[in-house]
Amino acid sequence: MANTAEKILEIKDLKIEFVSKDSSLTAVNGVSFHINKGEILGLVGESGCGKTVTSLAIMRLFKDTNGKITQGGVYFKDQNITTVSDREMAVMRGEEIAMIFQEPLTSLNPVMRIGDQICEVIRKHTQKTRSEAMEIAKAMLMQVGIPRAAQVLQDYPHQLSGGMNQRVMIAMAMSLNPQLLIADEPTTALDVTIQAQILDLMRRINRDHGMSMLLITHDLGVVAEMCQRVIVMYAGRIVEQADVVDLFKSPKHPYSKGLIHSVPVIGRRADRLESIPGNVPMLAKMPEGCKFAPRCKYKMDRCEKEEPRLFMVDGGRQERSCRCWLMEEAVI
Amino acid sequence: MSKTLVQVKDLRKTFAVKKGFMGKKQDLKAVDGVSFEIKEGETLSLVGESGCGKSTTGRLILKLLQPTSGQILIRDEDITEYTDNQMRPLRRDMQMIFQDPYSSLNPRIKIKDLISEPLQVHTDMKKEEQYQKAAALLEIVGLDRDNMEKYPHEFSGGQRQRIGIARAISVHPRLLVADEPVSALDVSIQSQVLNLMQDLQKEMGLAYLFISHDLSVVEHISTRVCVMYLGRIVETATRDELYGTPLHPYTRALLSAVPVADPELKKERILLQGDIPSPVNPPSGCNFHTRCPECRDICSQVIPKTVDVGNGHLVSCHLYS
Amino acid sequence: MNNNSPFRIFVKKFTARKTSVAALIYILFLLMLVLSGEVLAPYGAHEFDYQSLLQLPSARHLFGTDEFGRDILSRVMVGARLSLTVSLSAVTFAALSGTVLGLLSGYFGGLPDRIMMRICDVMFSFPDIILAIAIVAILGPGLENVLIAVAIFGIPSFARIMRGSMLSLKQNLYVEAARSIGVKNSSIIFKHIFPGAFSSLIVNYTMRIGTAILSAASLSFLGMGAKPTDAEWGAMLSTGRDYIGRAPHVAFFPGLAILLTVLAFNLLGDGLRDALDPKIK
Repeated sequence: MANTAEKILEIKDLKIEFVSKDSSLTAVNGVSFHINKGEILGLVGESGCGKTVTSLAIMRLFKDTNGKITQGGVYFKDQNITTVSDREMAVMRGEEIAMIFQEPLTSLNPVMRIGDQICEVIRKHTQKTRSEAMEIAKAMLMQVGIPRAAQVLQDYPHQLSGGMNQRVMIAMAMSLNPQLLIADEPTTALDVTIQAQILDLMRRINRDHGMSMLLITHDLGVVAEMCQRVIVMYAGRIVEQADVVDLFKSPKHPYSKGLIHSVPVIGRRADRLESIPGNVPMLAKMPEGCKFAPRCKYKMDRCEKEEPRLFMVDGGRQERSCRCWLMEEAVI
Repeated sequence: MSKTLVQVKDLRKTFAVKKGFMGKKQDLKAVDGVSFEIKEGETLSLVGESGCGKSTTGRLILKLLQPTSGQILIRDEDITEYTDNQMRPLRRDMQMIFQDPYSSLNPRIKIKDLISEPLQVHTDMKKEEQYQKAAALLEIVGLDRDNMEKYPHEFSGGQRQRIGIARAISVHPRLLVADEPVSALDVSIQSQVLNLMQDLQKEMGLAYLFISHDLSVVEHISTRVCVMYLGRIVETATRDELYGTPLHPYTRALLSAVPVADPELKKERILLQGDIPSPVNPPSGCNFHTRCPECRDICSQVIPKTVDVGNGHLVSCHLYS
Repeated sequence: MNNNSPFRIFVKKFTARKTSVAALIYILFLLMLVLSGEVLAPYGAHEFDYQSLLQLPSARHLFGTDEFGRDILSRVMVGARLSLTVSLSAVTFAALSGTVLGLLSGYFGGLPDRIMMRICDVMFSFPDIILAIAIVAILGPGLENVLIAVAIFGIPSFARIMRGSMLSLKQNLYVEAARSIGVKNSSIIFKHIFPGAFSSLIVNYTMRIGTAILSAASLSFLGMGAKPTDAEWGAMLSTGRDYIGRAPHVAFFPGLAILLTVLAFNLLGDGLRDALDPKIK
């Protein structure tokens, strides 16, 4: 099933480090996954897990930081994009892969009109004239459900609400018809009813245009609603990968279990929520062995000395893996 | 039958805002006629989206803001017009936990002094006694005693929130106003803090005014719930009734909009059109009418009255009056 | 002491900057001169020596002598005492008054705040020197009146800065938390808010000392402050003007003293500001 699907993005053994003059911190270590054409893949984790860093690496947006990809590669449609030139990457950004962020107000230029910003993107990548680009911009705004598109073209970002701005971001991202959309916490800053609208829009785009999506979030509800497959990250590593139904029904990794059981679900009453004791380890002070061991209630001696590999787990609706020594028996 | 701790009657707060450099002054009705009560030991939640006035309401009850009109009664004592000096002895019974754990603790003050500050204001305890109590409080909230000499920046968000809670309960208040206490925390830490709050409530008989936009958390922790929209309460009910049989169209839309962490749950989604109107220019009549799927003519003209449909379940909607 | 205390961090950041440390050392040296009185000076400040008029710097007179044969080095050292006493007193007075005014004004706001701001605006619209001259013109010449003038025209800058700090610090959630606990206003202002404004105060304080020294020297230069015979740097510059061609050293050394001292205070202020800024590592 998964084998016949075409892979649009593949990340192999990615390692990202932040290098300063006295030290280097490993933010992401040995991350490998792929996105199939037309699917919505969820990347879930809490702060410090490395999910945003991974997405920036795909788009190679590290120029202003001291982050570097020190190992592994990112393959877009089988082409290694970690090694292409800056100019080729600039072309890819927008035409092949687009990205939207959490805070639309900081991603949009506050002193440019909406129409001009979308046109700028279109004209950078194509030979369209300004009026042609404006027509496309207007069509895009209507597609994302913005009423009075002609008026909005003339507006500045601060005149629009958060929800409208996020629609503008999506319109801008779609204007060149990319094949992959990376959405980093796209609805976290929005109200619940507005979030529902935006998620519905994204689902529609995925369905009608076949656009593949990498949806990065910490909100398990959003993941459950939107994604077909899910990757759970912790401390810069993938700890579990599974079909969304499998993950929520029977999570294998202790962290996934803790996470899923600590979230209150409407309709399901629990006297007390489960919680994961302790805190996420700091990048500079990573424990030996399994990074989750200090907080894990199933911890064994081995866990504190040796970091587990990613074990394949049988019986999932799709390919399934888990980075936990408890899984070693399951494989055999 | 629990006694009533807090009673709020037709509370209003209007801010005067100026639009732009040369703009004219406009009225922002942040809280527009809100009435409810909180009983001893219960958790009443105020839930709603941005601009609904829930945070402002919480601050009005603690007199951190002066109401424009209406009444606030604490155990039948009318505190609406009380000055700072008159409020001071009462503050011992009403404390607050804030949303942002990073700026609600003074970064230049040590933890031991932060936690013991309420004791200093409200009791005659000597410094030594205060510090001993502070150390005990730290342990009650699940932190180690030897954190007393540290500064806030040495702690994580969840730990800081616990410190804030320790500070708030130090004088054994009857009411705790919690303004989005877990919204800024990671998911796995949220449950730690929520469990702590529930434990403290049982042990100390605390009442909570729980302000949040997160309906899943609100369902988990509340006794009763008030749903707010643009400064008004649209529905009040017990937790079970609100989530089981929501009556107001906004409540229904809100509940259906919440993404549920269960992929197999197929939900019927009520998608509201348009954006939340600005509180500076609210719609006429029922201020939800511009987005309401059940809107009728009367809705844009007349503000609906609040009706009790039985069992203390209150709704403000023309469908029921 | 707690290893992580804000004070430790501050010391570490400050000492990393060589210019700030150098400035501090120079200022401490000056303070020592001030405190030791006339003991360290090789000659008296008013010791005439008609045999050695306008002598260039030599082994006997390291800075040379002036038109009355007085040793310039000694006079510069005594001048340090005059300059520093006047400026420190004046700026301290301005800092205390300005801080109280600014903090209270910013905290309580309303009409008194607006009135105070307008008065400050009026005072700011004058260049420092004009204002000082105006005050001295009313009070009469003399170093004491220079001190008063410098003190008065220093108040608005402190008031403004402290009011600004107050307005921004007031917004912090921990201030609201203090109010919700029931902390009295005076405690909120001085325990919770003032420590946050302290760094702005200290930086402005050091900068204003430089300004004060310059103002006092300028007033003396113009003949409105110290008497021309006083061993005050500005006065010495003024009389040295007449001898620029023949004996430039008479004006040079007091001028150099003014330059170095004002520079040192400015560098110190810079260093303090950067060391206290949590955003600069």
